[in-house]
Amino acid sequence: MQDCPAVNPDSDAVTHSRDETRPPTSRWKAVLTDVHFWVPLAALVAGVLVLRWVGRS
Amino acid sequence: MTAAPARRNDAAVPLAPARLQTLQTLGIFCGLAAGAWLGGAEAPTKLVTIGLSPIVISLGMVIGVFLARWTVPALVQGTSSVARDLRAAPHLIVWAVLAGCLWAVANTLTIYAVRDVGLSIAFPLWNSNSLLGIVWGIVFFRELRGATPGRWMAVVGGALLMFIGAVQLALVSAMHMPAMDARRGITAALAAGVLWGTMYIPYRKAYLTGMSPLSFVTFFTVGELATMLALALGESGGLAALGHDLAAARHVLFWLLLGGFVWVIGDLFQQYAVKYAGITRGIPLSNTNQLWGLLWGILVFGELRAAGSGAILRVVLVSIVMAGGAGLIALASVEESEHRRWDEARARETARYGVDPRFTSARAAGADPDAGAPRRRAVDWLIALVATVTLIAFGLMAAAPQIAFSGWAMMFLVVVMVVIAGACGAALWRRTRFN
Repeated sequence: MQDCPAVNPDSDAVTHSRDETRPPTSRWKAVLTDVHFWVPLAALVAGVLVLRWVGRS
Repeated sequence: MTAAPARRNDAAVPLAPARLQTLQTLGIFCGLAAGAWLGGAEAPTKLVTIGLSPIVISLGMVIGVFLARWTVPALVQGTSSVARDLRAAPHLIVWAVLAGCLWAVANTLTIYAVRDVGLSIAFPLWNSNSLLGIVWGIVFFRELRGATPGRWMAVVGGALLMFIGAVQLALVSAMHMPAMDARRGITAALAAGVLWGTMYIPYRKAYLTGMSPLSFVTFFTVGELATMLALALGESGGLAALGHDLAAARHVLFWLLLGGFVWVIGDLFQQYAVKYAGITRGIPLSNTNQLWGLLWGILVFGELRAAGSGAILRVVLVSIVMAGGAGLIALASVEESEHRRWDEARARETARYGVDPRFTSARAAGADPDAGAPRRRAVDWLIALVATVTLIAFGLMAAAPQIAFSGWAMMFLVVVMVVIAGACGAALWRRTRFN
């Protein structure tokens, strides 16, 4: 394995479409419209409900 | 929060193939080290067998986790490094706290599961989290996209082998352990698996963006502690009742704190595995913790002592199958074509949240774009001092739990774990400076 290298941030870049690079108006809007936020939140709510059932049954 | 200015050239910088290989190998080692430490951290759950409330056990572990999650980053990189990461990607606090909430609920569910169906059955059920993690990795983060059919087969086949092996181990163990409430325990274990499998979405998101695992866990643990306190207060009926429960358990709280501390070391390696090897490789490898849990169960706690030679042989064969599954995954390294898809996923995060692409690119390469900044301040040493004093205080109150165990076997396993952590930690420091 190699040692920790110096990184050149200006080296070759991967290209992307314009749509992909368009910034949201605010980070909160970006968070609330991100599926990466809603899937864990849904799992959390379901988990709490199961925990309540397990704890009381 | 306000978005940073648009950057039309925000993009991920491809890694050199040699560096990519280095980081992949490091990620694989971290996954295996995580397995050793996460397996050892399950030992305190045996305390449920002496009648402690699952909520008190989980809260005790989370307090230990909280102490460790602030102490280790403060000592290794310093809180100034955490603050730098926070400034670079403040939106990740949301995911860190969310992941902490998921962990706390899942951990509590596992303790109910251990109580109802035993560690041997519950363990493989919640370890199904790796299968769900693989799905999320493919769907949300473009992992395995662009990979050859051989890589797909190795990762998915290896994970399935490990899961089938885990179920077989459970069946062997179940023959020697009465289940008290199978339906409730199995539901709790599977739900914990779903929560932990989903928790890897925040992990991967943070590391694609470039946050250091040491920074992520400091916010993660706020969600953990807040959720666990809310659950404990709700369950016990108020602060006074919870205080009474904790006071009654004061003689074993130290062991729970210690278990939480051990878990954090394992989880940190797991986080680096997710960062450098991806969810699809890192999580199945860290699920070798079941083999380590089995070693603890057999060598330290004398489980399966009553089993016949046939059952022991079956355990050995299944363990070999599981190790084979882990080996398949470890050998299915990420090729450049797949890594380009990782870069696309990284670019999505960079553009969506206006993060400096130099930050994400440097961190993806395991480097710190702002190296040379002050590392540790007085507050870092203060955090370490408070944690140490707290552990000593609980240690002075501790009494040996009324569980039969082999001290020599425990010492042997602890030495092995320390050696593994030392080797892996040194490699992480040398290659990435813990970024």
